[in-house]
Amino acid sequence: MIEIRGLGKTFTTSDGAVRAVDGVDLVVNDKEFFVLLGLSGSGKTTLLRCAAGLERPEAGEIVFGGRIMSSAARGIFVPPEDRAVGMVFQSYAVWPHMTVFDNVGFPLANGKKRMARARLRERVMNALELVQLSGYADRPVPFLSGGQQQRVALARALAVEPQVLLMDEPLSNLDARLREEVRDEIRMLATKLGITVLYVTHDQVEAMALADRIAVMSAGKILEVGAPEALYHFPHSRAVAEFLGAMNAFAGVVADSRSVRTALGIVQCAVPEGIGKEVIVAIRPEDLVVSREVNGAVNAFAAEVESRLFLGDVTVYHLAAGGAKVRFKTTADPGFAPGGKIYLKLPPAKLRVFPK
Amino acid sequence: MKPVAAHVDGKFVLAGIAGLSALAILSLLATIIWMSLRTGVPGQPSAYTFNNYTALLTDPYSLRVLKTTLFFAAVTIGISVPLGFIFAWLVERTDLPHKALAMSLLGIGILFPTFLKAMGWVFLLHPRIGVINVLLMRLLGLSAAPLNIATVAGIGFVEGLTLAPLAYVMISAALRGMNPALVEASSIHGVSRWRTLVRVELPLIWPALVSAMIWMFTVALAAFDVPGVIGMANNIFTFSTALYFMINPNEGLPRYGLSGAYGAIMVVFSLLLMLPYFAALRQSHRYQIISGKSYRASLIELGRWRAAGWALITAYFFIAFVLPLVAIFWVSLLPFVQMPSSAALAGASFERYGAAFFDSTLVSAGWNTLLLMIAVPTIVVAASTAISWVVTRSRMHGRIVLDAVAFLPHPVPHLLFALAIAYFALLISDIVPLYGSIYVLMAVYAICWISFGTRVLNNSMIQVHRELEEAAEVGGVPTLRIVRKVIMPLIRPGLVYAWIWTSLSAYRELTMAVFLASPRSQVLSTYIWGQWHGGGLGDAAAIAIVMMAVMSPLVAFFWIFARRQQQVVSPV
Repeated sequence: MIEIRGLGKTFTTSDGAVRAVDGVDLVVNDKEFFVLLGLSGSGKTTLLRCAAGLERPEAGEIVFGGRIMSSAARGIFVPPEDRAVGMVFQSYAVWPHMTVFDNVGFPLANGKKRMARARLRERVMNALELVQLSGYADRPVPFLSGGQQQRVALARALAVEPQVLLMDEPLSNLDARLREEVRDEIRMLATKLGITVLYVTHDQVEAMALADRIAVMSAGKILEVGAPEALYHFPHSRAVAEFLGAMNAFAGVVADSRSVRTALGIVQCAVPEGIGKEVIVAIRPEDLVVSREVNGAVNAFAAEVESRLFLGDVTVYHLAAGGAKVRFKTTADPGFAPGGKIYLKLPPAKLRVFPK
Repeated sequence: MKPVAAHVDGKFVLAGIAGLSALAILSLLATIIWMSLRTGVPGQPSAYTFNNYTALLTDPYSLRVLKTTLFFAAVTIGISVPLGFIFAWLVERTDLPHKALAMSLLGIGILFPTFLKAMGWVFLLHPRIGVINVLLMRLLGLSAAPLNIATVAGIGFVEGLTLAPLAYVMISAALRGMNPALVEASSIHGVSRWRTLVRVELPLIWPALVSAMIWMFTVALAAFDVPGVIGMANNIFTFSTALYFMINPNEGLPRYGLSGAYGAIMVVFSLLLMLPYFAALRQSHRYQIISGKSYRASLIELGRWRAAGWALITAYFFIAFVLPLVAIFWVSLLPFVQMPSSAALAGASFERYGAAFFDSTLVSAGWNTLLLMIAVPTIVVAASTAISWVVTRSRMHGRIVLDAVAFLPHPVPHLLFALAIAYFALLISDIVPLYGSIYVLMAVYAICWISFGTRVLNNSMIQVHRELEEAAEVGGVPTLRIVRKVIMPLIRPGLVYAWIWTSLSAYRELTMAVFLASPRSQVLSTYIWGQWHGGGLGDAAAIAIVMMAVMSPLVAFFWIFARRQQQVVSPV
């Protein structure tokens, strides 16, 4: 279990101080796959590096399974080599002057707990087996493909049998097809080995595919933590909602507790208590219902098709309705032509209302 | 749960080595200032005084030395920078064929000892014994020698020729890095080649030219070889040779206090020169391409000028390198210095080569040189690795200051460090009898060349991705082991390059050696120096030829290695 309390890390740059991590509280459960999601500069990598011990936070505490790793108040800082973590770096960081075997075995042979040759060999070969690289043990690393180097980095991190595995955008240097393959493999390995994973990415699809829980970060702070489904469907803020996927957002004024007046017209929806007068009504493009004929009376509006974008697995339409632009996404292409008149419906259960 | 201190011992070792090196550099500079404020012989009690400075500033001799030095530096710059620019432009901007060969011809000469080439020039252009002078007098029926190398302009000419490859390296780096789109934009919009060169290209590399000029100026200020070999015997003194004369006067006691004042002024002056130097360098970096994209400018077609370009490069190679070498070789074969003639040729023999090597002093000088060639680069590379690690990899406080201190011996004339360590060794000679031993040379060589080692290794280490080190850190590997097993193997080319260059430097170094060598710490260069000034020109020539022959394979190896590693052969 990882506990992070009130963590703060500031960098001094030529443009002044930057609060990279700004008072973060976080609990990662045992054997949980936890993803830190955020844009570049949101502080997610700094948070991860604090957990690794590569950065020394100036505020807050980090605790691994009851053992304090870093506590600014108490002046405790356990250096990375004593934290017993595994880490996969964005650049892979496989040592180009060593073979695959030596890369994986190097921390075992030179780390704090050195082991006998036979045992080391077994550990390395097991790790290579896990990532399906057993046949490549004696290959010099530069002769491997990007995906294979990625696996070496993963095997190296796993070979130390860490309690916590830290991963810093490990897939960002792979091409799209390979990324999905390695992503699924990582998820499978984590489940199989039962380790706690803290994973950093800026890709929301990757985050949702991997995570038990996701923390969305922005400007050094955590906006929201939750399971992928909860965050996707029931986000608490517009920022989190839009980070996880496209959103149609309509500015409006609250009419009563069950309706909001927007550019589309009156929209029936549950308005949370205590929300201000000006709000945003939001719905995901795939949650819209679109038809040629008018379909029911609640939240149904006439619209015109502006354009159609065929993307293979989905088709995206841009619609104009009552002066508002609407994006509609569907897997079953209804085949509307641009210029066509249609009707769209906003199911009240799928609508989210955020403060403006 | 352990406190930090228990784990940073490896870091402390590296920081300790780095700190000690920096301390050595700073204490030698402080010694210069200190000795300038005292009088008498080191160790003797003396009151602090500014008398040395007043003596220096009121002495008309100082003014003469200043004038000589400035004139000498001006000639040096006037020869080296234009030549360097033309060579750099030919290699980087035109379609000159066989560029690799051109670069070799231009660069190889700088690896051989400058003072040997200076000796060659005396044999070529001395008014009395210079071969060219005598031939011209015979041919043209002149009564006096038309050319004289033993003048300020003469030594400036030789120094300039020697430094042209250095200027070439500096300027070509700027030309190579310059964004070619800036030049192409001019050509595309219809500006002629010539106008583009004058109106666009030259202004763009002007800052690089200025920084090269400033650098040549500091080199000329510190230069000892050429003024020492050609000038001193003819009563021409520049700063460095004047300083030498104060410590090794023909009569009387060494004037350490006065030389300290000279030195202190040189230190301040050369450090001040670094301000415009770095300003110009920064300005020139502003015009460089940042992206690593391989973006090549189209080359200028030389057409029939190709031959002219090659003629220039070949002429340079022959005049700056082959000609002085041939002159030395000729003299080494003769029983006494004679003009080339059939009679002289009949008397030529390799007799000197046999006889010279039975001198036991020469043998011990050879062993001393070998010791320096192995020990000095090893110390330099070890200390530089520690310093560069602290500077580029750690986040220790004061690492920027450390980097600046490690750079200090670069602009500050090395002979001042030699002067300081001589004074220092004399001071402590009662406690530690190091004065006059080979270890003093070893120490000062190492201290001065740390500046070179750290330049090379900073560069290498920056290129090692930080995560390669962090991956080992996370894996629990201690710092020293990371340095030894991850970083050092990855920067091996840089380490080898720094080692060989330093070893070659130790072989050919004269300046620091003449300040420090005693009868028991002779090295090859000081031995030749002694022969030269003792009148044994022929023996000096013979040993010089052997010295060059011995170093040739090492130079060739270094050259091929440096080219393969794409290291600059003469870094600044």
